[in-house]
Amino acid sequence: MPAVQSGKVCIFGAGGPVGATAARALKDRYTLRLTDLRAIAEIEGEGKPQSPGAPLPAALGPPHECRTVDVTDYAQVLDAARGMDALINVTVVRPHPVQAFRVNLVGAYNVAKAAVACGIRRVIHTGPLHTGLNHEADYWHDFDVPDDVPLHPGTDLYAITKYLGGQVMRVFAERAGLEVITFLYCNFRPGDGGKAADGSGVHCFVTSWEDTGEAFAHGLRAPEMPHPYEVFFICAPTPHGKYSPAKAERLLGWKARHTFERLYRKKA
Amino acid sequence: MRLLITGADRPLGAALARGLGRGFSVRLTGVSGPEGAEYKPADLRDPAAVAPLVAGVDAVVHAASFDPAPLTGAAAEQEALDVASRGTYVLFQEAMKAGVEKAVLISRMALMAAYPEDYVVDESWQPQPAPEAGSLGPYLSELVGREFARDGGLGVVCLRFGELGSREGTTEADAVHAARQALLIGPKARGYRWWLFHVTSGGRFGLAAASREPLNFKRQEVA
Repeated sequence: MPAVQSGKVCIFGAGGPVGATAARALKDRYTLRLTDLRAIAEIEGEGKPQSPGAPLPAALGPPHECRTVDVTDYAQVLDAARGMDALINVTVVRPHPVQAFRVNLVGAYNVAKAAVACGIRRVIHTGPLHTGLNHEADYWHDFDVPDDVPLHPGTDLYAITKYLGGQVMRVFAERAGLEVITFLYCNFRPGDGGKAADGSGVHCFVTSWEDTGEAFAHGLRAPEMPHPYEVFFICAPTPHGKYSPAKAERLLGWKARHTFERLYRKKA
Repeated sequence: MRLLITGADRPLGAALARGLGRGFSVRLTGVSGPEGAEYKPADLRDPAAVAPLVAGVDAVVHAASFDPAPLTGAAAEQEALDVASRGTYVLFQEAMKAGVEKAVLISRMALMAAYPEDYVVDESWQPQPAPEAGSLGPYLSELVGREFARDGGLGVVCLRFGELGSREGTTEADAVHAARQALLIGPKARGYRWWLFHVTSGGRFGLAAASREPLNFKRQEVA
């Protein structure tokens, strides 16, 4: 059974805000191995959130473990994966022309390969849904876009490298026995909307940081998926229905608690 | 028409260089060997090395994606994935910057080999790469090429070849003929310029779309 109700979970990219919120949601239910290219304590100590309101990682003490791991180095990834019950890959590099391929694509390959080598079935992978890439085949003007819609990243470096990494994960899931749950995100906010004024509007694909972390707990605990590679929109429901989180609720039991209504409603 | 052929230090690239050299002006690149009048070794992942290679050419024939140079060492798999994906990305990006409007991307029929032999598999079927770097490489090259076509800047004709030199795969004569035909496909004025053809000389995979417009491929007689 791929469901991981308890046990040991390794997070690759735990120093970033998505990794930080995942660790916060999982630390009381799982024993975590937090890995990042830089020491978690160093990132925590700097105290520089990626964006206003974005969570910072915490260097958790025992029984948890923090470890410096370069996801582009297979030997390090394999060593970090040993003894784990599930792997979470939230590593990402956006603008660097070399490291974007190394981290977003090769890193995904290393995580998937390590999972197979260690007999780990459940892997949670993450990536962006680029809602508007300004080419004629994006879905910006479509509605009721399903979670499984083929991504059309165009030549945007970040979008295409994460897309390729996702495809590598899909191939490992379908051909090597993994069960990969992929979460797609676009825009993050604090659950209360942060400093944005009432009625100031909200992005069409938005998730609170708090809900982001909780999705990983649901992803680990969820029963076996219908298909070995399943993609989920992790976002708040919105009245326009452009992107729906219904699949995540149906298969994972995850539902956004923060819906940002105060932002999309005009002040009375 | 002036061409850049990649992978010219490998069997397929060398065959295409010989065949397309009759009728086209060719510039060649690969990763090994000394520089010559037509040939210049380069790492396709290096924009500074690729820019002069694509300057002044009308089309790129990317054969290195079919036939990459073998790699050794502990990180050989990871390096192969990087070469296949980033190499194709940088090559096509620099080609677009240089005003090149067309690329012929050579991939592998092996991507379809996992389907049962009695299935009639054509270009509309989803590739089934194996979960290992050597199989994923050409698949990733295809995905990168398709996105360049989607963005509208580059017309990309993807040709999937079987093993080179085999009647069950793709003979050299058929490979050269298919690449030549691909180069002759007229550019569309606008839109999604991606074409995909299976090109085999025999064996389990039929020609399907390749024999029709716009490729008009015909299997070549081998003496």
